[in-house]
Amino acid sequence: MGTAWTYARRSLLRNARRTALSIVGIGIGCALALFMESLNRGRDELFARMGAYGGAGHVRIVPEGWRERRDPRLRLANLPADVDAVRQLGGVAAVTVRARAQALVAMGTHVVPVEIVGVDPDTEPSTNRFARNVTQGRYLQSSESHAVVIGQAIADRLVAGLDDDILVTAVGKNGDIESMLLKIVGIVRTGSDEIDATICQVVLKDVERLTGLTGAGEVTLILEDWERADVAKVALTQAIGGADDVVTWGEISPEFKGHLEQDNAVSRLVSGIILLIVVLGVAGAQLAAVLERRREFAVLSALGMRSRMIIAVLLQEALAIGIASAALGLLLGLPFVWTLATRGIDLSQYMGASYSFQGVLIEPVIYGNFGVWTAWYVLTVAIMVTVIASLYPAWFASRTNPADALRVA
Amino acid sequence: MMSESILLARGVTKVFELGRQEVRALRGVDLEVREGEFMALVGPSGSGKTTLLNLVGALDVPTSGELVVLGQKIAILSRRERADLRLRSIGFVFQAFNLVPVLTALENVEFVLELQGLEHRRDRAREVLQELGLADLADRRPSELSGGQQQRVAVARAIAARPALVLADEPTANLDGENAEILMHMMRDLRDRHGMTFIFSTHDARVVAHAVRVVTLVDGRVARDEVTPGEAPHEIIPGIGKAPATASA
Repeated sequence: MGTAWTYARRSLLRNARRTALSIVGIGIGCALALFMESLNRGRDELFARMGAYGGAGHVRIVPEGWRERRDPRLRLANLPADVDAVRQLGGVAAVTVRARAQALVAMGTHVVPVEIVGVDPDTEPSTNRFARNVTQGRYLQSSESHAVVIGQAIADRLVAGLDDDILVTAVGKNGDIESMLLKIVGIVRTGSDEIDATICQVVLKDVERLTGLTGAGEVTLILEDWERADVAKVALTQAIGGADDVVTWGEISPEFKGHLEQDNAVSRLVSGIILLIVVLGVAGAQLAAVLERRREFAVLSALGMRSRMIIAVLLQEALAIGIASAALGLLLGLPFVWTLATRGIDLSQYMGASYSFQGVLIEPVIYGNFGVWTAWYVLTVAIMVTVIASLYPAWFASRTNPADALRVA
Repeated sequence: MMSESILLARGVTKVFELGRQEVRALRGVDLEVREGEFMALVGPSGSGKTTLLNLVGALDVPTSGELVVLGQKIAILSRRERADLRLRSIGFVFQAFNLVPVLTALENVEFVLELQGLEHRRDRAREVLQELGLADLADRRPSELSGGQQQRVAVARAIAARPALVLADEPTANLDGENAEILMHMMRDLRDRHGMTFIFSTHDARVVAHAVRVVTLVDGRVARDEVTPGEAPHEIIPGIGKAPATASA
């Protein structure tokens, strides 16, 4: 393809202004798409982190049947085997065990329904950011019992404060009503009433005592790479051998994941529309270029150049434009993506200091994702755009009837 | 020994549709051309010269009749087979030179060899330019060449792969007298040395004088077919192909 490549390359310089405009158009389109992709990936990562460190984790081992019933009274069938499986798994950043129970907490005449979470105070803070951010008092200690950490919204509804005793009532193992007095040792204020109304943590043993159900109801994992949740799920499922079940964060909070996917779909649709407009613009320019060179293609065809070779030459031209556009797209887009990744976009003026969605506390500053993927992404998008935009003009050129073209000329 | 038939046309017609109108460009051409002929195709404008050349060059297919070029029936060849025939066996010289403007003279010649998938094509392209006295122009682009020089490079491109048949559509129409003479001598030289068959259309009486056979088309039919009795001795012009001092298009 020596001379053919020379021909393709030099043809681009014949109408340098048109080529340059195509490159600028595609470059800007790629830069915009890159910015949106960075924002999408950053938001995905942020939301996944918020969800995971809000208590959901990335992957969770749950009792068989939990997926369908979501019953907090279910307990793991083989906790030691589950813990062993987690130990064998690579890429785990943190792990903790929990047990839950539906209960009513009361102080005086005030009663609030809650889901009490029994935790291991030694490991819970590494998986749950609320456990690290007690605003009044302190967090639970593994040696204590009859202590509780609650959210500010629950404290407000109970009209309770630190060191107050609250009565917790739950249904026991055999259907009896069981009660226990708990002392408030810590209060958490997240900034979201919705979240604050869900925080009610005690040590694991207290949930066992209250409900009469022994053992843990879940093993929650935080992964080093949240995108490996599905891989970790498969590995864990094989390792634990079917006694218990494994779910990912998307399965734990399908509404949350669905919302995330919906947002991404909208963002990618916008990117797609931008790129479609670019494709149509470039296709128009390429078609004009082909029409101008119709006589030339007729001559080449007369000399024996096959249709596929004509297409190949034009696609080579598109490839060259694509590579140049990718370089420009990176040049234009990277400063913005870098700024997005390091400074983020602060949305607090629109949504307050924090807000929650589907039970997940969302931080108001969204950071973009930045990495080697940016180069591959822009290169792929730019080449795809130019090649797609060139397909029809290339096909049109390949169908030139040499006799017609020469006759017209 | 009788030379082989390069072209055989029997009752060849070609009808073009222009909107609702039919234009009968060829109305039954009968013609046979043998290997090594140096034939001029003459006739008034609209007589069908270019149409016949296009058919012979497998650029187009006849509407009816039988047309066999280099042993191949043109009407039954696919688009790709016709492209292959052109590529392997037919060279073209166009009235408007039609060199690829972004390639140098050497690259224009090399491009055709590349299309054929030949090896050592750069060396071969240089050899051809050297043979035609165009070596000094190898690195120039068409815009840097005079009309005569461009047409000689176009001839170099046409014969680079040693085709059996070279078709030239009014090759001297855009050349002055001196360059037209040089071009015709070059084509005669190539025919004499390599045994290629040349068919060229022309209006120019000086060019016709170089032809060994003159076929006249009128209204899409062969009106006369004259062969020069006792082929005139061909004078090789020394320094053929070198840029004349007064070269112009």
